[in-house]
Amino acid sequence: MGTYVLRRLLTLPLMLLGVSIAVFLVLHLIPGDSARMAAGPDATEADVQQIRVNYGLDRPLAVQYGIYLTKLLQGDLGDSFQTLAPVTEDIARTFPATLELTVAGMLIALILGVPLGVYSALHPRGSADRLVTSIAVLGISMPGFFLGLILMLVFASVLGWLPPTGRGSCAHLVLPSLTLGLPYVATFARLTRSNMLDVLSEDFVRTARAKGLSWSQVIYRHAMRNASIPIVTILGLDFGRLLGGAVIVETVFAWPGMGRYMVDAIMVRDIYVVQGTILVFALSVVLINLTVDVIYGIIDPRIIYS
Amino acid sequence: MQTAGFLGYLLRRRNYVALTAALVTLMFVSAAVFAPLLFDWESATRVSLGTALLPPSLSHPLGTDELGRDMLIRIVWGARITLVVAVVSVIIAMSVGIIIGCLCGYHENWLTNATMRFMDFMIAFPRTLLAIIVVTILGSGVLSLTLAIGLSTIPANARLFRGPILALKRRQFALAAKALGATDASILFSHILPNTMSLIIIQGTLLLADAILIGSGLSFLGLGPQPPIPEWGAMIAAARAHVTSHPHVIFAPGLALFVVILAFNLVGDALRDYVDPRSRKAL
Repeated sequence: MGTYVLRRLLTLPLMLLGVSIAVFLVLHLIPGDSARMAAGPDATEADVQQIRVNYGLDRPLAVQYGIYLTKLLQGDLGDSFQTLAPVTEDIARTFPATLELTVAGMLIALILGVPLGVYSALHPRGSADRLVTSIAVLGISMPGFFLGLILMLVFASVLGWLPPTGRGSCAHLVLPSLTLGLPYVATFARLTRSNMLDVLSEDFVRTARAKGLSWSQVIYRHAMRNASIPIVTILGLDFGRLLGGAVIVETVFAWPGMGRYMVDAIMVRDIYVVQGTILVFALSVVLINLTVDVIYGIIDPRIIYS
Repeated sequence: MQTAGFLGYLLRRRNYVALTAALVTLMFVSAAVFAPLLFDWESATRVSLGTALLPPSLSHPLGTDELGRDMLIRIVWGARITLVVAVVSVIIAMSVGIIIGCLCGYHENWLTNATMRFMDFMIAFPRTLLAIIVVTILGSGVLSLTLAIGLSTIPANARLFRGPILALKRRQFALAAKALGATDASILFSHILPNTMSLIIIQGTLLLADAILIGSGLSFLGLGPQPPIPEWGAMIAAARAHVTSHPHVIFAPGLALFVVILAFNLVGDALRDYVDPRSRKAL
């Protein structure tokens, strides 16, 4: 287990190197001159050339990547053309906001979805069961920005219970995280339900019952643990999806996160910002997948990594 | 051809939800196809500030938007753009995904294994982000939005189709074809691939729903078709400042999106039940 985690951690720099090359190349293939964009509409040819020299954009591609990588290893992602601030500073400010939103959305999906799934597995063909199967398709059909605007209209504008936009208090977090998490409630519930039903028909559950354990002990200590393994897998994949969804939710609620920061940078072709944010998004996805693999080992000691 | 059989099946099973969904998709496709006959492009894009933000009325059944354009006309034209983007992107995603899936399922060697590992790696990345990266390279517009959705869906399709092909190539009929001296290409395309046809149709329908969802999200962010092109996600983004005072500017395109995506998802699910009745029990 320990060596496995270590080996996975050792592949991490390699993956990052690959991601950094991919992101670097991709953004240098962009048509349109970012130096001219940065110089503004009134700039002379000399100004544009000066910016190219300042940012090293006149050097060969390999040299540019070498410089980029050296700086990256020193924790320097370059400066934004727009704000002239270091990209790392902006990411340090915006990434926690995105993470907060994503984790809150995930918690909402889990806290509502898993118990609903367990309940409907224990009462098959009951009303909760029917509810779960019918709302799952609604969840995957609802555009996040539309749901967000409806929630904002109802709870902020009409009822006035919650602030419509911005970040700060817990109240600010409620609507964005609901927007992000609600579509996944039924997905998690459905997954929990089918795993739970599979586990409940296993022999060890009958044995646990037969030796006199109460139903709640059987469910929480025996069945839940086994049913949660596939859920953890999906959790890892869905975390990435929620991170992607956060980009849209941030725009709806003017949440000062990294997704909005990235999209704004794309609009004006601020390449260092785009490069940096994509790199951080990629890093988070890689780290989440690693974490999921480790969690497997804890839940299910039978998994031996070779 | 099979459409009548599918509709008959829905009637027999009294699956009125899926029947309604099939009707909605039919209406959506007709609106998209016949948009130029119903309304001219000029009236979908011409700004007339004098009639801005009118509530729904007889002359404007869905009201007007913030620039005074009739919402119904824009939604009908928006259906055309949505359908074209969705269909073309799904064709890209399916054809490339199936080719990669076929090659990697049929030939098992280091190259195809490496390709699948790369596909698995790509699947871990959020599709919205992948699509955003493609739009960043190509610039915003209808064509790059289509490519962005299509390209970002390839990895998932490759993995989805590799499994059945891996299983089918070990079946007797494929081995028999090989024993008779059929070439790899003919085994793949005339013996194995036709057996995945139902999967292709079901996956295609569900992907259409998905493509509309992702495309509208990117448009909402401003990365899709640019104004004055009436795209549903972009219409919501443009009008959202008026959501409190004039909710109809959000609800008309928003409900259109939701209902159409829902309809495609429901038809896809019903198709799955129709093709493979066992899958219903698995739910």
